[in-house]
Amino acid sequence: MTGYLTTILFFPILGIVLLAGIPGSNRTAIRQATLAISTIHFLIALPLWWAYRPGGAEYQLVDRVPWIEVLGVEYHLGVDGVSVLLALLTVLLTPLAVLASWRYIDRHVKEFHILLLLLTTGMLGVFFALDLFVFYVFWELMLVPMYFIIGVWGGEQRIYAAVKFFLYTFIGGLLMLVGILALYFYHEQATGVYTTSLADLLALDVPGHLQLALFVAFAVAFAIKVPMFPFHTWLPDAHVQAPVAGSVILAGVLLKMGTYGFYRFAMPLFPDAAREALPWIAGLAVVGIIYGAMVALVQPNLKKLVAYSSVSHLGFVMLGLFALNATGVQGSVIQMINHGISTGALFFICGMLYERRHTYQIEDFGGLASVMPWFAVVFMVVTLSSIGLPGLNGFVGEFLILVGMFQTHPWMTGIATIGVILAAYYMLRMFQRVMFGGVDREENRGLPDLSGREFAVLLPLVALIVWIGVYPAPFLSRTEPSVERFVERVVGPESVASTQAVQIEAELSEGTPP
Amino acid sequence: MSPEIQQLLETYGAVRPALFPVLPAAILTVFGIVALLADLLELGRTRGAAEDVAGPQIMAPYLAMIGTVLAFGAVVWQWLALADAGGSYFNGMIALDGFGVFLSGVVLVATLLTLLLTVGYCRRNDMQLAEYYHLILMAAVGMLIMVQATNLVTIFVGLELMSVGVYVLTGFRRTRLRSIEGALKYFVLGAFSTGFFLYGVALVYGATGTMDLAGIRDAVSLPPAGPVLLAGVGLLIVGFGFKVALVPFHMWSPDVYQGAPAPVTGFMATGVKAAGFAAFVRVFMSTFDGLADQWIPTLWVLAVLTMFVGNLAAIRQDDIKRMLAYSSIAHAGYLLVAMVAHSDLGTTALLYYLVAYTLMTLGAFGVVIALGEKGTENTSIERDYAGIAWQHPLLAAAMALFMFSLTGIPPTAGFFGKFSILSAAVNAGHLPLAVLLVVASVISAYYYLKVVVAMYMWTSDRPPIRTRVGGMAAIALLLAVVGVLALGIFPGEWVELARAAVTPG
Repeated sequence: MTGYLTTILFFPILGIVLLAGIPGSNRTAIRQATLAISTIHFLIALPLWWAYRPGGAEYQLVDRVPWIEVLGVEYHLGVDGVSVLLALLTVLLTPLAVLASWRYIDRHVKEFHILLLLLTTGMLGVFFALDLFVFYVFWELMLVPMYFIIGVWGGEQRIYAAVKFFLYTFIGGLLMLVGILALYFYHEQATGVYTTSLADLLALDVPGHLQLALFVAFAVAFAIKVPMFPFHTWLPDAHVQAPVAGSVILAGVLLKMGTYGFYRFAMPLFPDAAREALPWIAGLAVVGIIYGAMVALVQPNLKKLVAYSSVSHLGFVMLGLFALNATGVQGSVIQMINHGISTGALFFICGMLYERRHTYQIEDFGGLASVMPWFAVVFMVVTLSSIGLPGLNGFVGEFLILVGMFQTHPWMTGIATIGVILAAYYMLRMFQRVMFGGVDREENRGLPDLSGREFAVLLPLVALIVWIGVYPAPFLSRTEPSVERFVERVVGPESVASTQAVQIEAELSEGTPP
Repeated sequence: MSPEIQQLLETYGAVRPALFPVLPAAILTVFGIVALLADLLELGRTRGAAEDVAGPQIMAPYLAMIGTVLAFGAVVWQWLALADAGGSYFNGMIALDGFGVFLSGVVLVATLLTLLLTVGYCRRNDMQLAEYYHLILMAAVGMLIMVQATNLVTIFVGLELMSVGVYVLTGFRRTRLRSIEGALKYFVLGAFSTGFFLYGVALVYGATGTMDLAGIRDAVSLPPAGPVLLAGVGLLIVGFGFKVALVPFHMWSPDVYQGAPAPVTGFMATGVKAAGFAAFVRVFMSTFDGLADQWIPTLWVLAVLTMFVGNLAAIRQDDIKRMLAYSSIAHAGYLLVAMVAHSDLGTTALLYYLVAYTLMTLGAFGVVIALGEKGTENTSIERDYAGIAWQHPLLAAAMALFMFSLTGIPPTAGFFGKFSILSAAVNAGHLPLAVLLVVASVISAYYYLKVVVAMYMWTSDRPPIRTRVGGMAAIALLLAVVGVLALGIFPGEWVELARAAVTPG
């Protein structure tokens, strides 16, 4: 299957060429064309689900050709179970984002859609890259379209938010670049070979002090992206100012790049340092969980509330990764997908409310359930999924993370659990204030219920919410071998999957063959 | 190389004119003089009608371009013949080596792009005079001599030839106060720096008894270095520092860059800088190799100062030419980091970076020139660049690309250049310097982004800029765009080229 990943990766570029041929004044044609392109893209990428064989090699569907031979840089793509899921999430969210922007984006429509497609390529490149140089290129490349999307089509403070977003990510990225270079030269010193290939660098035994320095260089870049407390301050600005599609992609995919970076690069490359930093990072994750939840609690602005809830949720994901056992990491991976789906859906919902009322203030709503019953149903499901109600997707991830973490750090887990309770409180209170009570504002009386287009945006997400919640086995079984390899790499072979973890997973996946 | 070409080279490769080592400079000299004469004899000259904004048609620009292209051909010839023709010529005054030939190529690319960008500008502003093109070619000749010079006297001759040409070019819009101010400032301070340079030459000569770079190298390789020699080296740093605008010798550059006609500014930022760095690197990296322990810490400090002062000052600028002036100061700092690395890797990175820098900076100036109108250059970022993305989408897209490249975002030439310099610094063990470079780049992102922000995210109430990009300028911009992307996406071949230029033999 050589070339399959490359096809997926660069298909949007083909779409951009196509879009460039459509005159900018014909907005509908541009929207339709982008929708078609991104849907076809999704269909092209969907076979990844089956093409990746969990029992097979670590990285599959590998595309590998020399790129910059003098430096030993290769164009090297491949997927494991985790990147398959994240890539599928990416290609799923793009057509939905196009649909959601149908009316929302009314200026410079052509440029917007071109950037959206470029963004897709950038994100997929990050998930596919198995070479540090390639990874870095896509990591930075994706910055540019997102910066424009926030800066041109965003809200009132858009320029501030866009520049802040850019600078934060850029400084982290450059520090990581220095780290990559140091690792690259260390590898040359140790083996005499210049290479940026992940597999080769993983085989390297980096001495302790260097590991710690390099881990910090990588970790800061990723922590900014996650975002972990205290690097999170760009997030509320970017989220609130970005247009719907921007917020959705930002929350759904971009934030995952940070956690994915920890999973794929920072922790396996520098396992000793990762273990050494564990209390710090896990501690910051717990602080993030509580802090994000507390701030979300007092937000009068719908979008800001969801943004801070992201800080809290991503704290869980980080916590799961640093549980350093199969259960926690499995939960963390699933939670990455879950957060993409639920928070993506929440931002779509925010956008739909904004299209109707041109406000994000919670107090401007109230009693919408009686005016928009279908909307209320979908919103409820998404809210409950975000809280982590059993039977919906959020529960699976959070539960695994907490169980995994409890085995190693019961105290931290205990504190983190408070975050779950707070989440229920702020989400339900928000839902109550927006949807229930009397319709006390005249403007809210005649609001139309979900249109067909809006149903099309939300239904796939709701279906996934229920699917993962009820039957997560296909997802867990896909990521399991990758996660076990990850844990083995970071902790060492002896501690893979304690018996307890295997048991819980078996229960959750309802009798998948072990 | 295919066998046929190989054979051709073997058969005719040895047939080379006596001036072969300086063939590009010779070609430019001839064409420069012909351009001047053609104008004098009114060859191919048509007077523009009184109403015609386009001004008179003259042959000089085309002659200059043909000369530059031919000279570039000669550079390619030199490159191919390097294996058997390389060496020292004219009693050790000039070297024909990979380093010099590579940088000759960079200088000629800068010259050609400047010429292409300049035609429309000169016609628009009624300064279509043959002298202008003559001066550009003569300055280019000076640069070519500088990049090949292996004797302090030859370096000085090249330096002066280049500088005098550029002094006059700076003041070429003699009806504009800023242009005159810039020229005067440049001239006076330039003369000063020349004094420093000459003083340095004299002291080095006094300490070593020779002006030949190879001879000096032999002399300084025997420690200990006396105070006279060290003073000479210090003065040479000041002299070169002036020419390539290192902090604290940079004071002239913002005023001069702002005052000079935009194409001349672009030429100064690229050609002059490339030539200055060529001589700088040759003198310090090889000749003063034995004194590396002394000059590396000095340049380390200068690099940090240059990067930070350049980038911090650029933030405050509203005039895009001034902003680019400070940005070019900052880039000189990055190049200095490559010198501090003091390795083949560093020199390779420097050469690659100079190519990348030339393309993206001249590209940016190309857009600046294209957005000028008759009598005004429209250089205020806040007023003139606001919202132009929706009036001139292609120009704005090109500008955004150059700005991202200057910031160092992949997949552009600027990114890979910065990557190479960082890798040279890390490899040489200058980790703190690498981190400082990173911090400086983040600062630079702010003001490069400001241009993009202005173009795409601000709205302006000024009347739209009426401009039509001429064919020549369009070619130049296209070359720059393609170059910036090609160097960024497929840097391998270029790095190999630069590496071949650095490795002797």
